Amino acid sequence: MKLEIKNVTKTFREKIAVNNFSMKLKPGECVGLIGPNGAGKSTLIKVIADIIDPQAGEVLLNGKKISKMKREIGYLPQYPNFFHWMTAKETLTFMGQLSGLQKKELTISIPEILTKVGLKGEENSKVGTFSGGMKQRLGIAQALLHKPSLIIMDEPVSALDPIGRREVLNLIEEIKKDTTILLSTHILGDAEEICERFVIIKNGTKIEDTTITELLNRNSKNKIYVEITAKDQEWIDVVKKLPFVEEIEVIGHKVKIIVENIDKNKNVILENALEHEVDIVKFEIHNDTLEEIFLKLVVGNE
Amino acid sequence: MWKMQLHYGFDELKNFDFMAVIPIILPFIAVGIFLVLLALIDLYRYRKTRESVLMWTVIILFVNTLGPILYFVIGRKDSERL
Amino acid sequence: MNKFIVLLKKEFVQMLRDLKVIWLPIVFIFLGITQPIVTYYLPSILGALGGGQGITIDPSMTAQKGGEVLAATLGSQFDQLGFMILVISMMGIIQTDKANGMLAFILTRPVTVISYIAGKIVSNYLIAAFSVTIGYFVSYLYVNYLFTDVSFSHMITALLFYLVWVLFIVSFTTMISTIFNSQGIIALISIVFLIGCRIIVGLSPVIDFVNSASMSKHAMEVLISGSVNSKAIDNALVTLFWIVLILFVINYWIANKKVNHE
Repeated sequence: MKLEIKNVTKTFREKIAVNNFSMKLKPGECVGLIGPNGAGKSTLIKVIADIIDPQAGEVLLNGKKISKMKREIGYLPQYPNFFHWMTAKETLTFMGQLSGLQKKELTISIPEILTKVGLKGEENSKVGTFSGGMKQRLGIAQALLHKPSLIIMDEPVSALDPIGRREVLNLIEEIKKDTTILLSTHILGDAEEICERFVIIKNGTKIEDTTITELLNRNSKNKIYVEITAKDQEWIDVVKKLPFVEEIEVIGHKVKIIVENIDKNKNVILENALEHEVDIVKFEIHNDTLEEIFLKLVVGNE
Repeated sequence: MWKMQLHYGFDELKNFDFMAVIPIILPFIAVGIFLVLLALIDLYRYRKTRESVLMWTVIILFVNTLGPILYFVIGRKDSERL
Repeated sequence: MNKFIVLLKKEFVQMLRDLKVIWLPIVFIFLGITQPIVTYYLPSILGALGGGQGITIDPSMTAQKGGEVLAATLGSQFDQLGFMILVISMMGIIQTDKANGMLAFILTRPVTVISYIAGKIVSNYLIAAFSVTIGYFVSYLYVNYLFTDVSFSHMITALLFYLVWVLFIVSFTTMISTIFNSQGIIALISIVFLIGCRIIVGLSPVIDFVNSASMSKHAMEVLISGSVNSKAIDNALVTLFWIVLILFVINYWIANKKVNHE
């Protein structure tokens, strides 16, 4: 289903947590909400999950207010907490019945979902004895159980160890096929792995809404890295005089050359280097990594 | 009630008409003991997840009637915060 | 309605696992037995301590009216230690769910706040009412055995009046548990307020009229004098009004997402 977030603003006392935030999710899309700690991700997620009311703005699912569409939402909190005295099966039965599922359906769907999240054999263990990763998987199970059309996950993998993280990421990869997913994270790598589309939020404001490829293309700054040996240092002065070279930066033996048009100019530089019999150690076209772009977006733009 | 008797010497106790009192007091004592046992069994069952098991054992056993109640009301809470 | 049943069932299963369904009634049985026995034996024990001529049971004691003793069970046992235990056992009723995020979690489901509150109050009231009733019945049996008989109809009327006061105790504690975040504060505020209500009973007819604790006094009056005070029904209605008001406050507090989440 289509999710629309319209001009949502939420303040806590004086502090603005989410500031006039809008975005749209198409059905079946997977969107990563990225931002540093304290950027307002959790608050925004809670507004979308209808846990807290925004001061202004609204959240619509298929054009209807989210509070009327709770049946269609699966929510995974940052630290899923269940009644420790319930078993995994009881927890899912309880949550499932709250979503309006019948006992009959649940007797079939609960074993299925527990197998899917890898908790088969634990259905009668008390949740109180579960590890963080197991709780997270149970959290995902309860979010999926009623087959919602929108799944909202708040930091689904941040608190897990590498193995648990891997398991949960694989699980999300699988459920991505049938549902709209919105997940928040402060670790870029996680979002990069699962989602095509990113929304970067900082101080409660949306500062970027794009796809990975677009972000990379836009931020590849037409840079060429050439690594040369010490005897060819004077070639750098030659390159500086080339008309299309905008900027040059020398770090040891590495030369970073920013040109007007990478496609047209890269071969000219290479030819030029060969003409001058430069001993090339490395010649590469350099793109900023997502990490670098992310840092630039978040730390910059002050 | 039976606690109060502890303050008396044996001489006074001899004069006490036990036969008249026992049928009335016995259920009273039984209920008290049952409460203590219930609390102890529960504490033993969850001994691994509870903090200060020893302290609660002492309280249940020696704080008359209020001990087990205190345990159920406050002592069981430790694990619920998980 | 369906969701209410699910939530209610969950509360009962939890009480069963916590053994609350066993220990709370036992506590009230204990309190119920205490009053008749203490009343019956205390004078002779005191006499034995003072005179030292052996413990004998004063036959005049059995002449004390059973109704007065049963009334004292309500007034001296249930209204003191009994209700404190009740309040402390319920102080986390909503606070625990708030603290561990279960309240927010449950409300992301298509569940109305009303069915959530109703599940909490109904379950806790049923167990409280059950405990009070069974403790009271045991006390009644003892009183009839040791003192003069109390008529069955008076006993039941007094119990019904008293249970209205218990409903107020449960609702009020639930409200305080919704608003505040520390169990200590919740217990303190609830106990101080409710004891305050109980103490000021009888000071002025106007206050008595709006004071839910008067229900306890009306219950005792039925047992002692054998007649129902005409104000009792009015007072019950006022109490119900307070309870409805309390439900509105709880609903408003939760529904407006004022609940502290983190």
